[in-house]
Amino acid sequence: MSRISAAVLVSGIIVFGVIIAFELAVAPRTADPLNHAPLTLRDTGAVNAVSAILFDYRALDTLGEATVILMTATVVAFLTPRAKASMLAVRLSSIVLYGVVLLLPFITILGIAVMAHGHVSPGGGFTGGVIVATSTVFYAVVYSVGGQQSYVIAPAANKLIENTAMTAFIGVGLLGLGLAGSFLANAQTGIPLGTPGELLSAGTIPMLNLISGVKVGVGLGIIVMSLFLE
Amino acid sequence: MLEAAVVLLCLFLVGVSLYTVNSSSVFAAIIAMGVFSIILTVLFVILKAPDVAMTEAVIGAGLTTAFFVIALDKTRDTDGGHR
Amino acid sequence: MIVLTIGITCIVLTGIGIYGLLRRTHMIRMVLCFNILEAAALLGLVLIAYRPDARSPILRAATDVHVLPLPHALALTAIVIGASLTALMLTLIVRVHRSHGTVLVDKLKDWRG
Repeated sequence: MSRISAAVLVSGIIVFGVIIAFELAVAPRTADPLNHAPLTLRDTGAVNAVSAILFDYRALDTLGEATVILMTATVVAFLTPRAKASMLAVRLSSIVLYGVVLLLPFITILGIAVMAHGHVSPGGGFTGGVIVATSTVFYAVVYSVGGQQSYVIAPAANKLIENTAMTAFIGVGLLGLGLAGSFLANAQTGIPLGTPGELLSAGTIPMLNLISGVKVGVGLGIIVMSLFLE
Repeated sequence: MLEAAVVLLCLFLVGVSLYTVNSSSVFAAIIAMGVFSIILTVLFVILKAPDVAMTEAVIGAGLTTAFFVIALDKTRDTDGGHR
Repeated sequence: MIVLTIGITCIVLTGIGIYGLLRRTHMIRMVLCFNILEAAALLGLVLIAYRPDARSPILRAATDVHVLPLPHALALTAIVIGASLTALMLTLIVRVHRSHGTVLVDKLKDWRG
């Protein structure tokens, strides 16, 4: 890298920084004049506004995100043929071996709880799915010293679950299309929204949370396993 | 009080990222990246974004670190130069 | 004060990430620098949503003032997609190591074009 291009880069970063600092210093930082909370509660019935945006207002973008994860899992599994299993060649102590057995059910239950409470508390489908995938990492690191029997779920079942979850997401969208005339509609379909803050509320948002959680968990599990068994 | 905490956390964040760029071993850089994610999580909580904080904690400190360690283990054998 | 500090941190992290991407030759470290850049973008997104006198976007009472939830949703999407992108890049690096026997960019002579 020549000296001139380095100088151009550094000055570019400095100009960019000055612009952003100016914006941050000058832009008004008062409270939001339009209080969006009553509108969100009326439209979706979800207490978690981020979840309301992800799975109701902009649910089509979330479908695209799920597609990105599906594509990544596909490409990673394609690029890593399972010719041989080369693993971390370390001997783990028995505390690790038997401690993980005790730990795994709690991690999985935590993931499912985070998924199911995505519309009433922080969290949601993606976070819960990643927690479930983390339990896959645990299992793989501790037990998969090579060989096909080390899968948490068999690869065929993994693919089946992933494809079923993807189809279920689109199915919920088509339900909205059939009942209300717009893809992924929630409140307009006539599904009761319930009382905001209860577990069974917010229409299709808990369904989409669970579906996307299962999808993300299994998809990232496929990616982890493909990376392991390269 | 919160301002002092934010300034300290930001200094840690910059220091850890400088260590990630400049350290001599890639493995140390990966572990520093996990620390970076944890500090970022605390900053997200201070900025009132609990969803982003949870996701960053789980993905940044948990899953991505595992990805990096696996990849480093796969590419270890030849030309051991960790630059 | 909080806003200014985190804004400056965001800019500095962007600079560090670009510097590392250009200066370092180990591919895994380049992916780490990519993650630093992504973290700077996330910090900027969350900073846009921040209001000093507002609550987090868990709507406990409809009359309260909450921070904006839309940048949080964007940041959430960016985190998950960034993780899968990282996995994809690392898989490609492992493949390059299998075929060329190195992970250092300056040793990949036949890629220079």
